[in-house]
Amino acid sequence: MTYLCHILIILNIYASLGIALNLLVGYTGLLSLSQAVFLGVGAYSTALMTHSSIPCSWPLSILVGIGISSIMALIIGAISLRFRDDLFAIATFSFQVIIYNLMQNLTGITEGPLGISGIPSPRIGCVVLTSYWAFLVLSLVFAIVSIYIARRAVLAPYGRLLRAIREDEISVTAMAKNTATLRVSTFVFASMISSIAGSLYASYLTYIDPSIFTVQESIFILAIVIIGGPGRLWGPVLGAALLVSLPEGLRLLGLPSSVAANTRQILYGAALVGCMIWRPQGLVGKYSLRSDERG
Amino acid sequence: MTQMILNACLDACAILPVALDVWLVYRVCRFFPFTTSAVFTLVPYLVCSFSFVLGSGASTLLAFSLALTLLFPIGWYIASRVASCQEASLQLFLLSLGILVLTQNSLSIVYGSQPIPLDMSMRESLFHFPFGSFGLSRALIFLWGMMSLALISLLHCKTSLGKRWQAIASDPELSKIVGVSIKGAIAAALATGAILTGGAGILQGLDTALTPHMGLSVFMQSVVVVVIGGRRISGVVGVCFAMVFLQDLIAYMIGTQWHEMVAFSLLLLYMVVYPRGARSHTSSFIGCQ
Repeated sequence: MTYLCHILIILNIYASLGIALNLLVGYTGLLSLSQAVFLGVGAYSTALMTHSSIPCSWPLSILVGIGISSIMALIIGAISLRFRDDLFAIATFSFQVIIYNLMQNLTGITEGPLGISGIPSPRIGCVVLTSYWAFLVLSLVFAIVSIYIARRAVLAPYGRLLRAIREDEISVTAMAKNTATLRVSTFVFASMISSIAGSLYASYLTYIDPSIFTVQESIFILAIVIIGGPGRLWGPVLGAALLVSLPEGLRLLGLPSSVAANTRQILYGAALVGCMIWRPQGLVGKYSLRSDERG
Repeated sequence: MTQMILNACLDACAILPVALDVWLVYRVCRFFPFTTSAVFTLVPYLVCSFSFVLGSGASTLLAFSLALTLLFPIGWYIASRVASCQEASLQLFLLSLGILVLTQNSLSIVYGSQPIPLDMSMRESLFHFPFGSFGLSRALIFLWGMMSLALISLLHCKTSLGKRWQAIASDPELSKIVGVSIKGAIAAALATGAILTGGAGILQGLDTALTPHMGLSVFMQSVVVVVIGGRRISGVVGVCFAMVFLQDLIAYMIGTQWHEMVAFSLLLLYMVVYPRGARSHTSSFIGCQ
């Protein structure tokens, strides 16, 4: 039962990350490869603030993480959002590499490859969330709130504008809409959700190191969206369910942990290749990455 | 200092064939091919496997043939997508990313993640000059880099195949109408690039050691070179040497751990200061959309 709880907690966290990225990839048509950066910022904020000599409260560490992520997203967005398609992906990838290098090399702050261990469990008021069940409820609430907020956003005129930007940005600009602000605000919004997910992740694992926030992690989050279905609210949830739970089946084969980790990656890679060849719109998606099939 | 400059030149020659491959594929197919990174890793591993049974020459040939055969269906799919004039750069970008993840992890399972040296003797036999010294493997890297440059320049500027590449790069739809075999030209571009990259991968394996993730770093540096270098081969070559020199200088002054960060900071700086330059690559492809 504990194992099932663990899978569900991880699923909820990745579903939230997928929902955040879906706003960029699925609704705005921006392929971001830097989502692990914001996950890392949230995780390190919580780890450093709750683990310091003068420990701060868990909600405060989340707020600080959100603040730092938003500022970083504003900077990244201001530079990357001048570009579209693969150049945007390369720009965000550059940030991913730079921030990962900083996490790895600023040992005075992040402890470098040694990582930070002993991150305390979250405390909300006088309640300390230590059990798996408590984490499951917390992560589930977070996932539901993420879906709710994303749903409200995409059904509002704001969401329609995002879709319009995805289809034809020039027309949206011609209608006197400030597309740059819309794109940056979506990028910041997605970074905020990812940062909260990072805080949850760090508190749950009680240990973080830079190897958790590599480009592979960003690719994994992107795979959740692409395979689940970009442009659909439930797409990333389905993608997370598939990509988190299916590789767990490998445990039944009794593979050594090193081989199982690579086999998991092979499954993600194969799913990505299969999706791109036979179903570019994902399992339940309606937005194809092929522009000739749009609209 | 002279040794550092020499090392920078040789390091640049290690990246140059890959950068030229990425440049060619990006010009012709309009996407950044992560498959380059897969070829860079796959070919030397195959050479490593066969060299125990066959000689080095035969194993190299066999490795190239096998790698090209394995990647042929993907190459043909890419060629078909571009030939049908469908703007699919994101789709091909993600497809190639998936292939890279597949290749890297398959190699990790088969060979393990530990570095495997191809042939240490080549590193150890040194050439001494008044201005510095380098091993035989580094000399081969330099030669391969120069050969790649000569080959791509010759093919691109002096042959009918190069003319076809240029035509497809500027307007694929018009090229198709006037009877250019787009699929064939793209397949030729992918195969040429794969040979250059595979060779560079083998030489990298001779110089250092093989690891399943060695291709990604070289590929990403090549992307930086191609974005900043622009449409001209001379731009790619110039940026390649300048970037590697800067990387080596920073590594010499601060430490090697900031190696990758230098390249990507350079790219971001370029994108901030001169975003039009980065976009200029794709401006000529608008007619196809």
